[in-house]
Parts: sequence; structure tokens; C-alpha cells
Amino acid sequence: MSAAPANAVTPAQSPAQPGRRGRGHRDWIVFAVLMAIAWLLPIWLGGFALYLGCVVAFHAIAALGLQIMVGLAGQLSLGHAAFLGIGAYTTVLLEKNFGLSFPVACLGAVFASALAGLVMAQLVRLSGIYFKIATFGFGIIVHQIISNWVSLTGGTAGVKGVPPISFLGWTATSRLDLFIAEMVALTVVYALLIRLTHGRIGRAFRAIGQNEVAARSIGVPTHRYQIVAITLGCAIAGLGGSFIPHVFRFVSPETFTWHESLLILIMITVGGLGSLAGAVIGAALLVVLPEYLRDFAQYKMLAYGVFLILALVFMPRGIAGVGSSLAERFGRGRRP
Amino acid sequence: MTFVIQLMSGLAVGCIYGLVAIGFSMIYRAMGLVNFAQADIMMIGAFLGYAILVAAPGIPFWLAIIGAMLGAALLGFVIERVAIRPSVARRADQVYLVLLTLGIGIVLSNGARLIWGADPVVYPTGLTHQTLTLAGYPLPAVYLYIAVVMPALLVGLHLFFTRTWLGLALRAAADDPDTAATMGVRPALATSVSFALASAIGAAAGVLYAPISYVSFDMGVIGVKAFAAAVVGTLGSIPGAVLGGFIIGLGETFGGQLIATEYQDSIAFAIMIGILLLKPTGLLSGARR
Repeated sequence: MSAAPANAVTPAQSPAQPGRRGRGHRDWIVFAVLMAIAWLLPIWLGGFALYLGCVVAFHAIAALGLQIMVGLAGQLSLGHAAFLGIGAYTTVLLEKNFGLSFPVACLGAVFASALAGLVMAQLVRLSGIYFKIATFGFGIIVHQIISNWVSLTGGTAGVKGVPPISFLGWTATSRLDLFIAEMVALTVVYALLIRLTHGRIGRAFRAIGQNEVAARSIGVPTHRYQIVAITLGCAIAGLGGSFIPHVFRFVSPETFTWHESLLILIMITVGGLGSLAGAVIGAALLVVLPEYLRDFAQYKMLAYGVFLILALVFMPRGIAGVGSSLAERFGRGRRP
Repeated sequence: MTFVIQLMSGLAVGCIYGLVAIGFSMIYRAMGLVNFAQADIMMIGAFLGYAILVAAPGIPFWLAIIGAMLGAALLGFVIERVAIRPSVARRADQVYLVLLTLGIGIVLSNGARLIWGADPVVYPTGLTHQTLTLAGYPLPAVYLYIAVVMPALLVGLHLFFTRTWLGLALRAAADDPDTAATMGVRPALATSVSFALASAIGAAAGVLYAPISYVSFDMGVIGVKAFAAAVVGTLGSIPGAVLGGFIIGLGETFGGQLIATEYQDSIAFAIMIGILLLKPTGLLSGARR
């Protein structure tokens, strides 16, 4: 799959699905607008906004991965933070202990998360809810291993002295460099996932997410696709996680608790389940908003909870859903 | 010596898990909903018990249990009516419902944090430190309460579900809402009552657990292991919830002793995942519910 988004506007389509072209185009327009804002706004504002941009970027990557799993393929994971953690620790340990450069360490992180995801994906043969609770257990187990395997991870004290990102002689010395590195990853992941959702795999994921039994009855090998969706989502989380040590210049188990898993779930829900753009919007919203409500820090989680409930009750399709129905109304007005 | 103490503590914790798991299972059976707020309702129950013990010093412990149960039942009733009913009514997706209950859980735990503060509190009653000696083994006195309340609740639930009209109606509505409705059982009322009952049982677990450790807004994490218990014993089965509670309680106590106590939670969930790999829908899946 080549990363040539500009030329890849028209996905492979079957004649049986009219209107896919329109939706495909719209996804790319939204992509262009969102990425333009995400690239330019933090750079333009600079300073603290740039730091927030860095925090948003890795969350957005992780949220995109979770969106594929949950929003598209319907495999609710309650332990997504575990894979961020595996990614973060793999990266920092490969960099520090083996002196590997960031891209290599990052690949290692993606590989490790994908592997862990593949292990967790073996549980898909459990029926719906049993799988969800198993993913929760998986998150707890990974968090406890990170917290208690002191000789490897430094335990609750965490890992300090994270080396800067370096790549073929180029070193990310400033925060801007780091931001650019993250945004390249985010843009590529986002573009590749749009292509994926337009293709056969994306359709299979959606079919499973909407009705697993029906999908199986029309010949979709559901278990295999579920395993692919979970592994992919976890691998992407690992990629997002690999930036965490660099953003915070420190990594500790506290970043990868059950709350982080919840936070990413809230991001994709508020943004809109099933929408890639929603995942990015949700990540931005849930990182930026609390920072500007610092005086109310003690209400932060409460606000998250209320936000989640309100989003679910009043806009079941999230911000992206509200956006697309507005766009539809607008479009219909223009072309009666 | 330590073996017996470990055994007793595993059994006591197992009872707590079992009680929370019963609530979890009841709600699952009544409305097919996995209520991730159940553990937080247990936490609210523990705080309600604390509030009662503070407001009325010297009040008997069993009255605090009953008070907390009533308060939590009311809370559960309201939550079901206000937040959950509308979504269940429009047949929302499972993912959606799980997220909704997670949201309710967050609101409950952080609401409790606003009311009672972020620092853990200890019950202002002698029971917290009292021990009783059983055959030469010193054990926390609250174990006695657990040993009495747990069977009493189980017998009470059994009688409720087999002998009373309301209990039979709840079971009927859970198994076949449409037929039950034609027999005059309002399914909506049935789910509300189930939710209230499950919340009350969760609150009892919270109050009983509090003297063993402490009460804090994030103690819901403890109750999360009750999910593991409910799942191990098959969701929707009350005997399964009790069995699962004991398996998880004893398993994590002895497993923690054998491996490392820091890994207790991991051991609990590892046991759960292991059992699920052998029996994908829990131990009592074949049995009559």
C-alpha cells in the first residue's frame, strides 16, 4: 500500500455501491482540512500549544487504532493503554539499552504491540462480553508487569533520560522537530487507514462490526478479520506509544492505567464511533479542553464522565456524525 | 497458622467479590447489560455506610448496612430510569451501552471524590480494629458479619426469586419480556427493580468490605475483580457469581502468596482468562440458571 494519498482519491469500488465515490471524496476532503489544521495551528501558536499538539498527536494515533478495532470492527477493547505502554517501554528500552535509533526502536515497538495484540486476539473466540472483560484483564496484567518488573522498567519510578529522536543523522532537538516527527506518523497512519476503510478489508471490518453472524453467513471469515483488526489496532497504539517517552521525556506506569484506556475510548466515542476523523477530533478535544480548564482540575474526570454520557445520549454518532449530517443537509440544499 | 488466616481472608474477599458479582449478573440477566458502574455503586454504598456511621455515632453496624443498601437501591433505581432506560429502549449497540455504564461509573467515582474528598477514610467504628479469636486464630471481627450477611442475602434472594410474586415476575421478565408483559409484568418496572436490587447488594458488599481496608473514591477498582468473578461463574448465574467470587478470592490470595502479592490483580484476571480459554462462557454455562 503506497502512501500516495493525493492520487488515491478513488477507492476500488463495485458498481453495486453507488455513492461510495462521493463518500470517498468527502473522507479525503475532511482528511485534508483536519491535517492542515493539526499541522499549522500548533506551529503557528507555538509554545504551550505546540506541546499540546505533541500530546494530541500520539493520542490521535492511538485513537485511530482503537477506532478501527471498536468503531469499525466492533471489538471493544478496555485495555488499549496496555499497548501504548508496550510501545512506549519497548521504544525507550531499545533506545537506551541497545542504542538503537528511533525509527528502529519504533518499529520494534510496533512489532511488540502487534505481537501482544495477536496474543490478546486469540481470545476472540470468546463471545462478545467475555472478550471485553478479558481485554480489561489484559490491560491490568500489562500495567502490573510494567509497574513491578523493576529490573527492566524501573518500576513505579519510571525511566528517565530519554534520548532525543534521531534519524539518519537528523536529531529532533526542539519541540517543533518532535511535533513534525509525530505529525508525519499521524498523517501517514490516517491516510493509510482511510484507504483501508475504503477497501475490501474495511468493508469486512464494517460488516463484522454491524452484524457478526450476518457477516459470517455471507462468507466473511469473521475470526480471521477480527484478529487482523485487533492486531492492527494494537500495532497502531504501539506506534503512538513510542512517542510518549519523547513527549514527556520520561515514562512511568502511571501513564498507562485503566484511566488512559478509558480516555481513548471516550475520545473515539465523543468524536464519533466508526469515524476516523472523529477519532482525531476527539483526541484533540479531550486533550486540549481540560488544559484550558485547569482551575477545575479536580473536576476533570467528572467532566470526562459527563461529557461521555452527554455525547452518547445526545449525539450517538459523535461530533463526526453531527458534522456529516450537517454536511448532508447543506449538500442537499445546494443540489436539490 | 498462616494458612488458615490466608484461607479465611481469601474466603472473606471472595464473599465480597461474589456479592458484587451477583449484582452484575442480575443486571446482565434482567436487561442483557454489562454494568461497569456496578463496582462504583459498591463504592458509593461504602461511603453511604461511612456517612451513616459519622452522622449517627454508635449506630449498630447492621443498621449502617441496611441504610447503605436502601440509599444505593434508590440511586440504582434513578440511574436506571434516567440514564440507561432511554438507550436500552432504542436498542442501542452493546459497545454503546458499555461506554454508557463506564461514563456513569466515572461520574459516580468523581462525584464521590467531590463529596468525600480524595483521601481514603476509615470507618469510625470499633469494628475496624477489632479482632476475634477463632480456634486460636486472630481474625478481623467483620468476618463474622460477612459470614452472617452473605448466606442471609443468598437465602433471601433465593426465597425472593422463588416464592414472591415480584421475584417470579422479575425472572419471567428477564427470560421472556414479551410473554411476561402479556401476563401483566411491566418489563420496564422489572428492570428498574432489578437494578435497584443489584445496587443494594453491591452496597452491602461495600459496607462489609470497608472495615477490612478503607473507603475511597477509587476503590471501585477492587470491585472490578467482581467482573472476573461473574465471568468465571458464567454471567447471569447467581450460584456462578458466588462460585466465581470464591475462585477469584482464594485464587488471588494464595496465588499472591505463592508468586508475589504485587501481582494479585494480574493473578485474578489470569485465572479468569485461563478458565475462559477452557470454558468460553464460564464454569456454569451448561447448568440451568
